[in-house]
Amino acid sequence: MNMRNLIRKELLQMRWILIVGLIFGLALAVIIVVTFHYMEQVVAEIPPDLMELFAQYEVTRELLFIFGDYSDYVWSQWNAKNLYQAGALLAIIMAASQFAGEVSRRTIGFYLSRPVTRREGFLAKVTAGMIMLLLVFGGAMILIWAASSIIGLGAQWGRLWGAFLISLVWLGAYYLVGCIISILNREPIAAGVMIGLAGIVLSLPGLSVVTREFSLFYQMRAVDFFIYQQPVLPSLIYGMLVGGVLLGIGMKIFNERDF
Amino acid sequence: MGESCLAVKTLSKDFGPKKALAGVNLEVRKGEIMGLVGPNGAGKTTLIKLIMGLIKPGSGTVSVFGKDQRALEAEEKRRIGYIPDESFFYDFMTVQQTIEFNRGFYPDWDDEKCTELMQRFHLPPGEPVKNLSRGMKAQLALILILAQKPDLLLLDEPLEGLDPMRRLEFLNLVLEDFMQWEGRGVLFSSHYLEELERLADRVAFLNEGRLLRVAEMEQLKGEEKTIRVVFQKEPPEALLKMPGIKAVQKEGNTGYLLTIEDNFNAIYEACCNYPHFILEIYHRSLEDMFMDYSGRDK
Repeated sequence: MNMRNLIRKELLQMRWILIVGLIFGLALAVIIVVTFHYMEQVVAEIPPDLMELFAQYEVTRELLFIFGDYSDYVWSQWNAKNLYQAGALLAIIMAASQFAGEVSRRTIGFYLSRPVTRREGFLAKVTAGMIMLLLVFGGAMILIWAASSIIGLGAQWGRLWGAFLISLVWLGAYYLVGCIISILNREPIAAGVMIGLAGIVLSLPGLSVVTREFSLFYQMRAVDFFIYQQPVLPSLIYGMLVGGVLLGIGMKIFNERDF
Repeated sequence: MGESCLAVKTLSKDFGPKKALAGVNLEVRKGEIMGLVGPNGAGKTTLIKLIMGLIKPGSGTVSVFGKDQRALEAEEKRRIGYIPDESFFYDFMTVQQTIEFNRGFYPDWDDEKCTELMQRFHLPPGEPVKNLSRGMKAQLALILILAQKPDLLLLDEPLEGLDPMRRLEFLNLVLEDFMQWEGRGVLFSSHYLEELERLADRVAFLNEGRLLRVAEMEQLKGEEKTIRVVFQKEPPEALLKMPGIKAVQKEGNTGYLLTIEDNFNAIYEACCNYPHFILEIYHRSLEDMFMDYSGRDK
């Protein structure tokens, strides 16, 4: 009962994020479907000799690749681009606001003086954050699927949903990194900046082929699963393990912190 | 009385190099209102936050209803009510949403009392909390506490910024409504000493993180007095150093203000027996004692 009450409060507090997120998802769905629809026609009209010329350059080769298959196009625009960029931004805003924001608004005393344990207080916030990520990005994914169906664009939706799951789990891990940093801060803006900087540091391993498996953002794009045809489970389990460790660390810090 | 709601034992807390609390021992018995008095920065808020578990002690223990504070379950936490020194409500909620949010935590929530007080205070249910005045927020806090029906109430400067009417209303509700049930205890920190003097059964003086004294209010009223005496000639040193004299202040050549905390009758008699022009007794208020303990002049 207590947890449900706390989660409801968190969702009520973040309702604007959900509304803005779903508007963003709707706009993105329309853009993805419309751009592919017209670019597909443009590519089809390119003369064969020009196509041969384009095939020599990596940039145009990649463009031809993503416009060659709708599933690849959706993945490139969604998992490999908008989801992880917008997702990281949303994770920063939510994490900074939920913990450091609560301290700076001086409402943390009210929150923790309800008959709940610190553990429940932390888990309620994190659960609400995860629900928001799921609602915003799951909602956007459904909108992309619906818009594609309306315009008659078929895709390998099973693969795309698999990639979405991987992206969501790793986005959740980044959100938990944000929560830990936010617990250690008393000002949400400072917390947000530090979470962003941590994101930059965590993305660095992704610059090298040797270390990219350790990059949160490389994993968030579900490259191994979608491009290199790896099974979905290893990436998911890896992400859940990282998330589990971060959850444990966050809970411990929240439990020990003075408010 | 007798059994304790709250027991604090050798509680200490440091914030970096600053000693916020140093070995504080305090008990709030069932059925009593304990006043907590001290200047700003004395450690009152730190003590109450430690009791609430909002901050962790450096050393020492806090027991609530005989159980370690850190081990309290939701069921036991429901028996503690807390009003801090500042508004701590969610600005995005309306008055009604704030009530509903709280109601969800307390199975014994008193709907009747809540409705009655909402009507009495004329609080608009649909109004966002951010639009409420300081006084209305205090009223909302009081509604939440009284509908929650806690057994231990922790009040940290709840009267701060309220006009005299609202202060009186607040205190009357605490006295009439909250304390009518046996077995309840209150720890009440306030700078409004006159009101505390009327309300508290015992008073604890805190300064610079140290608990200087805990005394029954009746005992304080009886013991803590000031004798103003103008002797005909300089009195013997032994008279001014009698046990129970807390402070001696000289006025003119042979005039003295003696602050008495104990052994009043013997001191008074000694003064009477020595030749004097004037001998007067003043009852010392809680404010006078506060000034003494905080080391300040009025």
